[in-house]
Amino acid sequence: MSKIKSVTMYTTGVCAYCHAEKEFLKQHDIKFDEVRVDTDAQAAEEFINLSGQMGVPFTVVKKADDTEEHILGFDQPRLAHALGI
Amino acid sequence: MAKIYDVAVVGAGPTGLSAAVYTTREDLETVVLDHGVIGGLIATTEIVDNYPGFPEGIGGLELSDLMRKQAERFGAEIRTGVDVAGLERSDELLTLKTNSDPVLAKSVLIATGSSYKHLEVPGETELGGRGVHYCATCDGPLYRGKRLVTVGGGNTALQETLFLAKFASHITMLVRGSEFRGAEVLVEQIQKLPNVEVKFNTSITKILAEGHKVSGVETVDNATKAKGQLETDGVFVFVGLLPNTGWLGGAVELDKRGLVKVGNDFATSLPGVYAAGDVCAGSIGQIASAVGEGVSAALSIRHYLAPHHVAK
Repeated sequence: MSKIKSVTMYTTGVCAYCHAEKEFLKQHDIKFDEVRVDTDAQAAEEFINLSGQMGVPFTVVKKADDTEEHILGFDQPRLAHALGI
Repeated sequence: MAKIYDVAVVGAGPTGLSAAVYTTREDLETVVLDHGVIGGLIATTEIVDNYPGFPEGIGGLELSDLMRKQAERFGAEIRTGVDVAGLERSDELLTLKTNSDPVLAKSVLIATGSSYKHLEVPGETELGGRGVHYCATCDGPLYRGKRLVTVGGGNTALQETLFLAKFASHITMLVRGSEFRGAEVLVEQIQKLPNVEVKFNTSITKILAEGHKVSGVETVDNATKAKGQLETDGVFVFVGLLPNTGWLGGAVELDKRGLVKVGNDFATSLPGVYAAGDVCAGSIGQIASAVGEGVSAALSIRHYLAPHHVAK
């Protein structure tokens, strides 16, 4: 986690894949910010502009060198690789 | 030496989790493997209204979580993020090839269920996530105040359209046949919604885009062959299910639709390998039946392992 600056996860309320990803991050003690795009219209617009699509979960892993990895869907192997776990 | 499980269950849906409750209670060391979410397709269902024991219905996510907790209480090891890519048998031992280390077991239960079928029309793949979706509970809330098209006339299409109608300003439901194939109680609820319009005998032939987002669909009337066009902001597809059996690669016998052939005891053509739930030929695709089949398969596995099993 030391090489990771932040993890931001864009979610909706009853999304099973979002729920599973949050559990996965918690299991590995990864701190993350959750942005609910179903209840915050401005966040939803920012999310669509950032990701260029409308599927969740969408995760942005910001690394120490300020590069970002964008992960669409609950892609556990990709998340594990990006987070070094 | 790698660990050898008594039972490896592939798939953490209601079938796999129910089986794991029974095998672990029989003191059989059990691992449950899944590549995605616990609960499978039920986890993506907003409300499960027809599973006994929940008179007010229960959220699909919550039911999945309760099933997982129950299996874990008896000692099941549940691993997610595991892609199972093959199955082999050698010297009475079964090996599951995965995206990490292989998993060894004396018996295997195939409970991989099914996935949503795609329309297979131009535009669908390119616009995935950009207006074409398969999970209403995940992506539906982003369409607040927008126009949507839903495709399908079965229970899933009806239930998911009911969910989407809470957000969308207007939904056109396209049904290939001349009537719904789902439960009457769901049909009645759909018919009461002022923002849902149903077009029967209608199929999508192409999904249209403006920029990188869905802008409409081209349709055909299956009775008159008349072509049409509809403007929409998104398309949600619920046109049936495909069994998740591609990973088996011929290890067990399948029918022509790709469903696993099983006997009355849920045994497949490969000794020590059982299958239950939606992945099997003859399944009726209900949570309650998936649970029952998982339990029956678990008891068959117990019987199969009995001559070799020494209680710990």
